[in-house]
Amino acid sequence: MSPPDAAALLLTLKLACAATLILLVIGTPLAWWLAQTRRRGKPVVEAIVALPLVLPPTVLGFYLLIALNPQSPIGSSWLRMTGDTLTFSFSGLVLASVLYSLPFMVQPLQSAFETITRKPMEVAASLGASPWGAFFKVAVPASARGFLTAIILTFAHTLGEFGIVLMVGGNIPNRTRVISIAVYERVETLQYAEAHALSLFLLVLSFSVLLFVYIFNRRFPIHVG
Amino acid sequence: MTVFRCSLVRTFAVLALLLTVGCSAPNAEKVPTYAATLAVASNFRPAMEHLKAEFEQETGYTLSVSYGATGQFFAQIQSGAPFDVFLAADTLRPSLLQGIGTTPRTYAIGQLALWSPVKEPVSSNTLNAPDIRHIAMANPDLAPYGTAALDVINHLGIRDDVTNKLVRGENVGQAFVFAQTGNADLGFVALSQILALPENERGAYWLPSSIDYAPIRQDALLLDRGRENAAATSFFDFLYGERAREIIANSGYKLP
Amino acid sequence: MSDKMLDIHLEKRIGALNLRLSEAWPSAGVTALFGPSGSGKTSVLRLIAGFVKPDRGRITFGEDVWCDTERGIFRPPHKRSTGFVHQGGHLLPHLSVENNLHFAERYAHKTNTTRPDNTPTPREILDELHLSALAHRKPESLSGGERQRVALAQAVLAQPKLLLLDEPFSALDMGRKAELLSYLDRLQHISPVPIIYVSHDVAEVSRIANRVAVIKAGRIVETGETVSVLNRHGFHVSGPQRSGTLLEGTVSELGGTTELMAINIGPQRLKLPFDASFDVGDSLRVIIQANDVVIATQAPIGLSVQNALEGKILAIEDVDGTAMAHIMIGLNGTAGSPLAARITRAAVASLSLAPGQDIYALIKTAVLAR
Repeated sequence: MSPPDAAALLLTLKLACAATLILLVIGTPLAWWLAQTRRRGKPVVEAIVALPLVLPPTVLGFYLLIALNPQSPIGSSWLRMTGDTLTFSFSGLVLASVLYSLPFMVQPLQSAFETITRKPMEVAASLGASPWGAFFKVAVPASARGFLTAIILTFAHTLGEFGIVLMVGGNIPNRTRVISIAVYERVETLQYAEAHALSLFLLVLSFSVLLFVYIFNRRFPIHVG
Repeated sequence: MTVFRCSLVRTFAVLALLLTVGCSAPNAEKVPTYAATLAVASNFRPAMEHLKAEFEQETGYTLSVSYGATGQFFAQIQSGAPFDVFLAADTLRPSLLQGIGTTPRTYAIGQLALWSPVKEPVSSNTLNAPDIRHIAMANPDLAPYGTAALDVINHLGIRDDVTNKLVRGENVGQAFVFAQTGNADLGFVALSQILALPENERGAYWLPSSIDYAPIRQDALLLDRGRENAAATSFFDFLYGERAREIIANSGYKLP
Repeated sequence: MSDKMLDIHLEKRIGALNLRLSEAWPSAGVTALFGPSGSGKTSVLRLIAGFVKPDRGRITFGEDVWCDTERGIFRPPHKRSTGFVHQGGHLLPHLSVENNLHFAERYAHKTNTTRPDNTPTPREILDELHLSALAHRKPESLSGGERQRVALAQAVLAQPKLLLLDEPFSALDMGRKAELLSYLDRLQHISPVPIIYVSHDVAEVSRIANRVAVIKAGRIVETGETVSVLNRHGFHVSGPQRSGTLLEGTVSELGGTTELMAINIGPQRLKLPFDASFDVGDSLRVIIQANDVVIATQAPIGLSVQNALEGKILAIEDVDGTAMAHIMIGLNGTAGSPLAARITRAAVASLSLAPGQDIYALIKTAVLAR
């Protein structure tokens, strides 16, 4: 692998890690709320969360480009705070990835939380555990498999992002040039051999990650009373 | 249970077969017959629209035009995509297709422009201005407009100064979007893109001298499939005729 | 501890059920909340535990105000020091049985400042309830009955100030049930904790309850001493007509495994199969189903039934829509509840039974309740 491609790969991994971590922090309470609530607004929120699954990445990327440009409210406040634009920056990519991979974190977590019926939480409460205590000592360990699935899926999904990253990132080496763009460039410039090599590498990587998730879930299926 | 499964599978198979047959059957009555199918580089779109209207009115033939990336069309045509004529954004891809069509011929020469959507005057010095944060351009590896932009920057000797500000779009179209949405303060775009805007939205631009960058020759070729096609050959001739050249020049290109 | 009262005054609408309670229960011993399915007993328990908020009302335990809608006070369940055993015996799914108990223990040390010497350790409780073999198993691999027992152990270990049990032994067979009811008894003597026990089973309730609150369609119909309340309401649970009696008696002779026990009901005597858990002088309750009572106008001879109680017919009532009739019999020498019998109307007619008549009540089987 050539140095620019290696740099792109490293950047991609950084991006995937950052997005996954942030989504873990944001997604967990959201998934918990969705699993527990009976409010009327629940289907609306679920639909919004699921949007990135069905929207073409170019649509999302286009709207992000408009919403985050330095003259917009979001873009200008970011500029004032950090002195840097949100678009064409790593932070912008992280933001875009967080939005794009949201359902991959929230949905498996929500599923796992829903499998934990109210009863164990009530049991914990009756024994004296505070709501926070019950969440961390009962809900989280009981849905460990769900967390694993969510984290791995989110990570893998961010690895493969292309359309949005292209739109919002500007393909700047060491900053926003991710591995999927590197592959695309190879194809466009007719360097098919290198494109094959890179693509195969990514394919094997992603496949292994997903295979691991499915084998793991099969061996240790979620059973909660 | 196996009996149930068997009949279920059979039903699905029949349904799927019906669907695919139904969808792929040529329904000559429903789809309007186009005389010829063209693959055209996206950045030529404004000019192409004019040419199409003129040609269809003149000859009565109808054209089906697909706009897209030159690279993608190249791959598709190589794999047998049913196009009659290919208008590329460079000379490389057409030259590689020579076995499948006629000798490529330049139909337009692109003009590079340094553009700001805002009205303030733009010159070569603007590139270096301190308040310029991002300069958009097409990816030099992928698009001739990008290579041209890089040539200009090198010629001005400011490569090191501006290299951190450069933002690469996948093609000149994307570079244009970056600049138009305000994400990039300046953009190296095609003059034709600027002229396609309404007059009051054209902002300000500077045209680098064409000797400072490699000429952006755009080649077209008549593909083998189109050789038999009267409408296709007719359009190909039209493309290099007086009227077409006038339209092309007005759209912001130089003529070969 | 016996100074504490559990005061419940609340209203709550749950679906089609309108709960309305105004009760004050002494917080000592076992209070049974008794009623048919759908009467709201579980909901009341959940309101006391704090899993559900009342629409309007107040719940206080001694001096602690657990809930007061007028003053906007609501103490969440984890601050109420109540132990709760769910009907299904729910446990923490990701922990083994032993760790489930350790979890309870951990929180017990938090809520109570001192640990009384007589509180068992997890190991001890496991042994006592014959659960040691299950120590390392996960809840999902336990049977319903096993889970209920572990859940009870867990709730007890948390050293609550009030124990709320929702049909905690519904999945257990008779033998185990008796075992656990005895355990609860013992618990009351070793480290007494007031218990509110929800059930629709007369035998269970008569075995363990000091007082019974009968709940029907969201209202408490009667609260009082176990035997009399159950005799008035207990047997209506499965049907609209009284179909059984609870009698109080004392063991006068033990007999042996092959011999019968003698139980004095007033001056009269019942002979029932030997039960090793009793001793001479123990007071107990006997449940007699109305269908198990045969009426004879003369002293029986040549019958396999050995138990014949003498009494006088108090009332005869036809059971609407059936061929049966209900007979209420006042037992000689006993001031307690009348004995209920259920026989065919044809039999009433052929024996010419009438109120005031002296008869013999033959008891085929009875269940001992303490």
